[in-house]
Amino acid sequence: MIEIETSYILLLFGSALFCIGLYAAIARKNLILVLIGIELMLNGSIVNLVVFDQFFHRNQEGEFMSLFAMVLSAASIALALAIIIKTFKYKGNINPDSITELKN
Amino acid sequence: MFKILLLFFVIAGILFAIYSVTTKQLVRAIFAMFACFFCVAAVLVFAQAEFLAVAHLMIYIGGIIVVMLFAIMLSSKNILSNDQSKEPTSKALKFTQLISGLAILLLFFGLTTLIIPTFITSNPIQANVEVKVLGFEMLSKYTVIIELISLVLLVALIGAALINRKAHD
Repeated sequence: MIEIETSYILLLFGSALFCIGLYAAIARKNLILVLIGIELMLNGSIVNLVVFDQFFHRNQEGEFMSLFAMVLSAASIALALAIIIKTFKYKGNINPDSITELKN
Repeated sequence: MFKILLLFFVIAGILFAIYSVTTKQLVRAIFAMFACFFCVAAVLVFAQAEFLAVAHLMIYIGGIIVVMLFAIMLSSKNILSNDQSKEPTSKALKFTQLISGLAILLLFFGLTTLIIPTFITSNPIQANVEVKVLGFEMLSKYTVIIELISLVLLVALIGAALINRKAHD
């Protein structure tokens, strides 16, 4: 078996999650799937922060930063879901292209 | 053995992520995201960040997934069937998806072949940090940030409740 460095595998995982999430956030036409994409992007960056903390800096700053990122993403999910449900009640669909004005 | 297990979780996580963003059914997407988050937590354990892995499990799987499922299940039946599977996918949309997919594939290969190899290190993984150290730092160096974050979380939750409140007046 080819020897691959552990740091390379972990960084690859982080960038793959980020790219998949970016695809969902750009290309999907459903607000909840866009939200899932944003969550995947946040997870990719969390993995990246932890890897750079563990392999390069070694002073736990990356761990704390990813902890704060997790809490902030929880807050953003709560708000975004509320806004999505409100949009669905107003518009009847959750296509991001149909939301063109703030006040209806 | 360590690397085989790690590779297993990494590949499973990537596959679940791809499935969750390409499937047409919303509930399947959310459950695939659940599995992907589980793999991310496992990968965090392999990176010797156990505290973070437990926090990840609690926040994402215990909190976010449940909130998403509840919000979707309780709001309306139509929000589930309201998907692009019903309406025929237009050519422009397919073209957009193709172009963005190709661009992002290019970004991924650029990252993995150009950027990441400059950071590769054969450093051993840091010895496991005690949770005690994390706790001390949390209550000394990062106290203000934690207070601010709790405030942000409170404001966000109040805002979410306020947005979805039924208007009586």
